Amino acid sequence: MKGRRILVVDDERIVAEDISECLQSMDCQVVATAISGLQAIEMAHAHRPDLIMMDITLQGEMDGIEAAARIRQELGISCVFLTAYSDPAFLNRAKQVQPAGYVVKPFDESGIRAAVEIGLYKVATERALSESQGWFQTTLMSIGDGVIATDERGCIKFINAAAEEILGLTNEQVVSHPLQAVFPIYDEHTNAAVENPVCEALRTGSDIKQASSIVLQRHDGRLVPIEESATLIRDCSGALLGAALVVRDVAVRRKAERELHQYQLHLEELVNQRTEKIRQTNAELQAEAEERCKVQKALQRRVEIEALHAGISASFLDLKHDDFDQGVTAALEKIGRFLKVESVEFCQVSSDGEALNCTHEWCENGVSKIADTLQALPMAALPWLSFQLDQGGGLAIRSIDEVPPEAIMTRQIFEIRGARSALFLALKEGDILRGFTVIFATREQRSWANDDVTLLRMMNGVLQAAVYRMKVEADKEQLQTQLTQSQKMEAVGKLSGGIAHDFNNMLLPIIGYSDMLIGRFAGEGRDLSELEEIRKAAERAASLTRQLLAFSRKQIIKKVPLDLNKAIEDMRNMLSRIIGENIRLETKLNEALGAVNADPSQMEQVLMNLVVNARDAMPDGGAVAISTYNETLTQASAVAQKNPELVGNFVCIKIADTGVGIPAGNLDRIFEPFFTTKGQEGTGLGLSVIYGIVEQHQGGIHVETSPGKGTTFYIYLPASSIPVPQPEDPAQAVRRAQGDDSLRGRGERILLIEDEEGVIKFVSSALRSRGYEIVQAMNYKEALEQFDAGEYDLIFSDAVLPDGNGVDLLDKFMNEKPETRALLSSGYTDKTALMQMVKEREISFLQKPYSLPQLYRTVREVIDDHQSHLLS
Amino acid sequence: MGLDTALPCGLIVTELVSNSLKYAFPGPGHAGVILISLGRTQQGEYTLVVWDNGVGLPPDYKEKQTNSLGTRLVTMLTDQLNGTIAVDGSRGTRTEIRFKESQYQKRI
Repeated sequence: MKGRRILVVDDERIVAEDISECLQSMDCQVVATAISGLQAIEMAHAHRPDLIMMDITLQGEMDGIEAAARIRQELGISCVFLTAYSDPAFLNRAKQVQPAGYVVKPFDESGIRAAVEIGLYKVATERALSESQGWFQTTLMSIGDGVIATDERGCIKFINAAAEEILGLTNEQVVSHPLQAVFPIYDEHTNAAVENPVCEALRTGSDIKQASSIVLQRHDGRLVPIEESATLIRDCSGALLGAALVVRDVAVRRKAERELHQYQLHLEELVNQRTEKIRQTNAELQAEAEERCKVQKALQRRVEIEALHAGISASFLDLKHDDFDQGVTAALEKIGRFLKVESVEFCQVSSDGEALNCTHEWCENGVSKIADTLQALPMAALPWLSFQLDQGGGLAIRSIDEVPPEAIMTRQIFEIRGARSALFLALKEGDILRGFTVIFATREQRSWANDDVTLLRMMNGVLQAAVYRMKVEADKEQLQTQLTQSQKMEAVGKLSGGIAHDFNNMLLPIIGYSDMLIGRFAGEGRDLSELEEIRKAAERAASLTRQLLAFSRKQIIKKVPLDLNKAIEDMRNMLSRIIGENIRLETKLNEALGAVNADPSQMEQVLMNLVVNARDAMPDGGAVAISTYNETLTQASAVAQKNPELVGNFVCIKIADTGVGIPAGNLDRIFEPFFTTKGQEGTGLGLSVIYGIVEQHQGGIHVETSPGKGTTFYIYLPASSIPVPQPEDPAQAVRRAQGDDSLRGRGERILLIEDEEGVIKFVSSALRSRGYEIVQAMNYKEALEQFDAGEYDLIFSDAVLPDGNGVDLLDKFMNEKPETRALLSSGYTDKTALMQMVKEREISFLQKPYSLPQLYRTVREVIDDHQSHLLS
Repeated sequence: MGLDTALPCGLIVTELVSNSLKYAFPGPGHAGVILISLGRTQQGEYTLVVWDNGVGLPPDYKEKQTNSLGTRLVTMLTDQLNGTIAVDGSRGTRTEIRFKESQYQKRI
């Protein structure tokens, strides 16, 4: 009672005060007093008393019962009514608000005390019950499991929120329905209806815990997997009140379980994947490591190859020509030992592309050399190999079975070598197969690796470069030789030129005076035979000089009607000497041979060069046959087919030898300048000069050759219709010239310029005797003075003067006086430029030594402006 | 004026008058006047005045703090009437209570 808080409500303040006094004496606390219902409600709200002493009659509209009802409703606080009434109607109303007690007025303290004590007790009990109910209610409503309570017959009394959720029905919808009706359950696997555990529990009288795998079919048709258990509810005496069913929706759990399971599977999958990945990565790493190892090995091999390559390259750098073969063989050995093969052969195709020669070879000890066998193999017999090398550049043969049976020669090479495997690598110059390197494995079969090919290819490069270098050096040496030869010839030419010059100057007076004497003796009827012998000797000397000049190729070309037979006969002695004693010179000259319009000295040169070549082709002796004949070439003839211009009437010189013949590969090159097969002996110019000469004469050359049997040259020159003048007897010629009045001078003034005393004396006296007036000049300077001093009908000058040259001089005079007639004479000149000018200025030219009639005729013709002696 | 109003009203007058008799005129032979008046305004408000020409109240007097039964009864009854009380102790003691007639439900 102590400290209980009490609100007193009475419209009688005195009564209220009295009650308060009474309550305070009971150690209760009167929190307030109110005199109206509204005030009571207000106070109750403000103070929350434990109990209210409520008068029924109050001020205002609201009486105590109504106020108590509202307070109870709003705050759950009970009242003890103070009333003077006790009629049933009032009591009935008062009971509705479940009062905590009644005090009937008039009251005394003990009455109040008892009522308050009972009231407070009742309030405390009510509150405890209510709190307990609240607890249970809240607990039931808030637990996650569904709870369904039934009565002892199995009819639903109450379901909590979770059960509402599971069933999809509200408490109101199911209360007092039989549980069976709203809660049909089935076995999840068999779909068989299962007895409700509550019914089972009620039937058997013991609690049931249902196994799992039960599904509930909701009224909306949904199936919900559940777990459930039924517990019987009994009162304190043990009487059965009903049962409680606890239901759990395991869908979420199932789902979670499934998800967990899925997740586990997923994780497992992930782990598997990961493991697989790791395994894969591991394998990759291992493979990469192996690959690296391989690459490293390959690199190592490559470095070794490079080193070998560099070594061999370097060894070739300083190699002299003479050591070349040894160097190549040494290189082959290095290659062979490096590649661990039994033999390495270096084969080259001959320059004509016809034959294959093994030029270098290395064999391991105990393996026999085969280079001597592999010589002059005709390329035509190796069509398969050449094709393979031409196409692929290389050919790796693991077994002889890979060589087709028709490649007989290639198989034969295998057999000769006793090879099991071979690796060929072509050596090419542009697209042309120049040879190959081949390595043979004889002891065992071998598959060729890329490295082998690479190395061999590199070595091929080195060998090719070396071969090329050697060839260049050989060419250089040859060129050097040719240059030397050419210089030698130049020197010989100069020497012979000089000799010819002096010689001709000496011969001129001999011939000239002989002619004069012949003329005089003939007039006196004296014997001319001795004089004629002198003259003939002089002629032969002149001929020799001319041949000498021909040899040094310094002569002036002058085409004249020529009898080739005579030219050949004239040269016969000289040619016989040139060819030596063990070679016969045979001539078969057609007597009806036509004339040609040709330069005699050039013809002599053609003959001489061809005969010299023939001699060189027959080191062991033989015969040279020179024959001449006329031939009419038509377009159908064999010669014309090769030389389409050669159609018409020709005179042919055929020079046949019985020598070694010309190899087919060389045939195309024989007319090339400096092409020679004679080594240091030859200039390589002979045939090229002939070619040039024949071309100048609109002729052609045809060659037939048969290796080992001999060569025949055919020189075709166009036949000329101009007959060759019959050589006149010198005596007659002189007499005729002296008797020919048309050749006499008519007092014409001639400026004669000549440094050679014998010549100037002879020419002066010869011309004066014929009626010309001669002014002499012995040199350039004198000539200028004399030219300025007078008028001349003819300037007759030697080409070579001590202080200048005759061509310049004549040029100068003709520039000063364009009408000047000029005649130039020379025994020899090597100044081709001067000769060019002679041609351009159309200066007449008289070759020393000349005969008396030639002198008379030429002088007369130049003065009379005849052009017959112009240079052709 | 209804019974529910008149009853407390009478009790208040009894208390105030007995107070005046007890305290306002101390000593023997003291003549004095006690005036009781009850007026009603047009708005239905009653004014009950009990006045004496006695010694008045001490200056430190505070009506609400007084715990004497009489004063408490007056205060309680004025509350019961939902009225106001005004005490002036400067010229004798004048207590003025204003209230309206209480509204009750009909009793039975």
